[in-house]
Amino acid sequence: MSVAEVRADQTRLQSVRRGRISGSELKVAVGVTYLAVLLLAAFVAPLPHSPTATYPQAVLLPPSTSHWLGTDSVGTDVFSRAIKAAAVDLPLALAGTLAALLVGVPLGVSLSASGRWGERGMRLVDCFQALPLLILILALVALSNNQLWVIVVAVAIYGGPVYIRLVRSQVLSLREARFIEAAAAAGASPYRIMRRHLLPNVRDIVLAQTSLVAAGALLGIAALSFLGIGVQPPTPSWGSMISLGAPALVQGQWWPVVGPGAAIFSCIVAFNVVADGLRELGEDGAP
Amino acid sequence: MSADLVSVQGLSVGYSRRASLAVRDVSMSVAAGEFHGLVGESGSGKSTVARAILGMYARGGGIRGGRVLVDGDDLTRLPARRLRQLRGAKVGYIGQNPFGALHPVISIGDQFEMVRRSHRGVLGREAARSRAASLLEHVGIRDPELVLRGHVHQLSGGMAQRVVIALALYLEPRLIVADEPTTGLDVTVQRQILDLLTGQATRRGMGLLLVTHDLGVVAQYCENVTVLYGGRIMEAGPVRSVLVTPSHPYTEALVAAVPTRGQALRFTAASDHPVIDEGCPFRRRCPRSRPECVTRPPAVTIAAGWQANCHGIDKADMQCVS
Amino acid sequence: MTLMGNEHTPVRCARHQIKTARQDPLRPEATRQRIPPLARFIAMRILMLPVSVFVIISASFFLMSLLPGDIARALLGPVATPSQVARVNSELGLNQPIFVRYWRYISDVAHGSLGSSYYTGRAIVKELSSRLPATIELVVPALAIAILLGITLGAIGAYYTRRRPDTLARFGLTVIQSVPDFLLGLLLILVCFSWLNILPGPEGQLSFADSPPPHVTGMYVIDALLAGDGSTAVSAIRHLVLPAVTLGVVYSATLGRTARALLGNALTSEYTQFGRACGLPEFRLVRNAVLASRTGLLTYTAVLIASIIGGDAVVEIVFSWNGVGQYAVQSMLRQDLPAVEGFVIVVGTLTVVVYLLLDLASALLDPRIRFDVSRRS
Repeated sequence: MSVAEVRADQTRLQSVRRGRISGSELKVAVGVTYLAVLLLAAFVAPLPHSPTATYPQAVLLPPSTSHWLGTDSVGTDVFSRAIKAAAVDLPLALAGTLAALLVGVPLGVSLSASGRWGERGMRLVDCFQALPLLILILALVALSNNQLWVIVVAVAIYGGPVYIRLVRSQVLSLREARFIEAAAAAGASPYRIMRRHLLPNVRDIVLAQTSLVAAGALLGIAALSFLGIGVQPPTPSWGSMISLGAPALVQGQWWPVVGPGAAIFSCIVAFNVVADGLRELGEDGAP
Repeated sequence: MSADLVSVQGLSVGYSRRASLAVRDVSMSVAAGEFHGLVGESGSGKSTVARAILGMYARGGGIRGGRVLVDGDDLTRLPARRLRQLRGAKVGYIGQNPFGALHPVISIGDQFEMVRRSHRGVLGREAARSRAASLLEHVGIRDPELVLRGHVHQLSGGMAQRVVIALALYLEPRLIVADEPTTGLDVTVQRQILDLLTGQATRRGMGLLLVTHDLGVVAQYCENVTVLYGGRIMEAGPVRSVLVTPSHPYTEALVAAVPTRGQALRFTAASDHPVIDEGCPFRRRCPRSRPECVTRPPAVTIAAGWQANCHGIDKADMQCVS
Repeated sequence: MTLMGNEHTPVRCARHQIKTARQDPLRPEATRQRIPPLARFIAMRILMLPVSVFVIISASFFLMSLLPGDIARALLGPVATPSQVARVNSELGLNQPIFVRYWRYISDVAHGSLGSSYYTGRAIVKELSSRLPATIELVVPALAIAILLGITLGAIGAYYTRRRPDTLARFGLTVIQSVPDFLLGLLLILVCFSWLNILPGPEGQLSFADSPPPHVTGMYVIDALLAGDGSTAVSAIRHLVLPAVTLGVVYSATLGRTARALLGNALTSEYTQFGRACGLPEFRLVRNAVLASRTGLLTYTAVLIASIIGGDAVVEIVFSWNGVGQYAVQSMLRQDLPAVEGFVIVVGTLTVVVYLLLDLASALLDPRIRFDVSRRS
């Protein structure tokens, strides 16, 4: 066992020894639970009203005991629709994040290899990020007739470079670290160093970043559908609900916007809180 | 009592994240003009004690018991403003790493100016500048004007530590706390810096609290020494007594570990972590360990100003007890 | 003399500390390479500018051209006959090989033309330049808000790490980070216009009753002030408040988080400890920490500027703000490709220029670079 491995074991032991649930772990647990419950509710929970049916005679009803969050300008129940929208927006954001992860992490690791190619690759990423991504993604999604898999690609375009940068900088700084030097001096093969020493140390921060990218993806998907691109009515989506409610809001009828607004806000808060907790756990584990 | 510039009384310091204390029930004092050595291994709490004398604690840390008197003022009761005025003006501080201690983008001259302006009514601006220059000359910097205009990254390690010493001397404090002032330097300049520091302190009649893990340095420069292990005082007294005829088993082991010429390097009993509880922290490594060592060791006075905290002394080595 | 326990030997420590003390975490490569003299550095960066712009123009063209979708059919609608589609394709030059179109596009750009809109037929340069002042008028105050709010929240968090004010600042940042810009804009409209009626609603830069001031800069607040038209200036400012606050607050989140991390490092650093031990007051320690991390703060401010230039489109739409962002989104929705390409080029170029200025500024601010240069020249 190398010095580094002993040290890693010690860190693990410390976190086990602590026993009780720390604030960081609580953050992760609460955030993940909230998102899971919402997602489950969107698919299986009985909703008080149909999330898609329109009732011209029940337009813009204020919140009441039968319509908890009122109805929107076409008479659909805001609460039911806002819950149902989680069945579309959340899976899309998660799938996009997964795609970004699968593209970004291997690219980040390979660009961290020494030599000119790493530097050149990063200049390319720089140039790419200088482009107004929102408009490019808009163009991509709009011109593909709003197919949903293109949204997944779009999220990967947004999140990929984030992972590339993060993983590369982490690997570069870790390679200078003493315990990597120690492992190399002890004769560990590059593959073993990568698998046993580099990746476990990058894992926490990548997980935290994943939660942040998911939050960003959700924001982006909401912005797209707010602009009328991406998920199309009658499929429920938070962004399009807010866009539909905006004219009424200016008249002071707040519920068609606040309902989906609260849903999307709480989801992004949940992702951010999970990211916070994961990051803190990573920091605590670090020597 | 009133002659003591600094008096630490029963000090305990803890960091919130761990239940155990970093320093337990430490009492020591430094008289005006005294050179006092504070020795111990890494993690023995010597830096924690040194910083507590300036009323400073690492993040999350704080005083958990006892008190620190500087010039008769209780630091825990001093208002924040007066505590700040005391730092630099009454007690100067020198740390381990001179590159880290100097600000990376503020010029050396401006750093002197900042210290001056933080303490009211010390010196005029022009007088201050020439005083800074002459101080730099005193600490052996050949072209002080150039250094005052420059930045840390242009200095060598020895020069940077000289600048730090000049900054610590700047307001003529009555005590300098030097926390391993030569650890971050090349061996070749370590002696120079220590000679310089002690020379300047002697010239100005300042006291010096020298925190170090090097017994040779303590023997050479200090009058009194306090030995810390596991956050507790093991033995304290005049250097000549403590280091020549140590009475605490830990000090004995420490002195025995100093290699002498022509002798193979020896190691003490297998290194082990100190035991942090009510009892003696050294008992797991101690050759004279006995059952009562799990309780708090008594303070045994061996001679005037020479004490050791150990269960084993009054029974095994009665020869020194008065 | 000897060393006790498991301390490192001093020589090893000395080398290690010199290395870490001199490394700038944000620009690790700066320590590895020899830093060129400032003049050569500036010249190199400025010479690289046209290359970057060329890359952006090409990227913009190819990305737009290679996107899936049938432009002509989108313009004509689903009931168009194949011959109509063919005619539109040849009118727009869409039936030619892509490299011919690329060559034509590049030579047009070189002559200062970004083509003309499929939709209105007006020159894209005109369309964009008439809307750019409105965007600048919105983005500049928004940036000021974002920088002030972000650095303040970050500094509070860093100074009071893990204490009550830090918890509050972090809570605030999490809320800000989690609210979509369009939602925040709408909520502000709800509160300030619909309920309290203290600020105008989403009707653009001026009310329908106001007449625009004579055109000088294109920015209504400045133009009205230049013309001495006080009431129009007040109206323009009142219209500016909500969109600028929306953008500023939303964009302060990333800067705030970065500032907290950077200042947190600076405030636990040895120079802060030493400054405190020298009796420096706390506000000065915070100021010194900001000074020490200014290159990092500047970098993230530049990233902020770059992202806000193209990223304010949604807020422009919420507030009917007639800027380039709104124009780009509208053009996109009606598949007006030259307009979108023009927007991408303008925003991309602005971004590259911002990064160039950033590099120059950090070269001038960093004494490690500045002094090496002045000593040699």
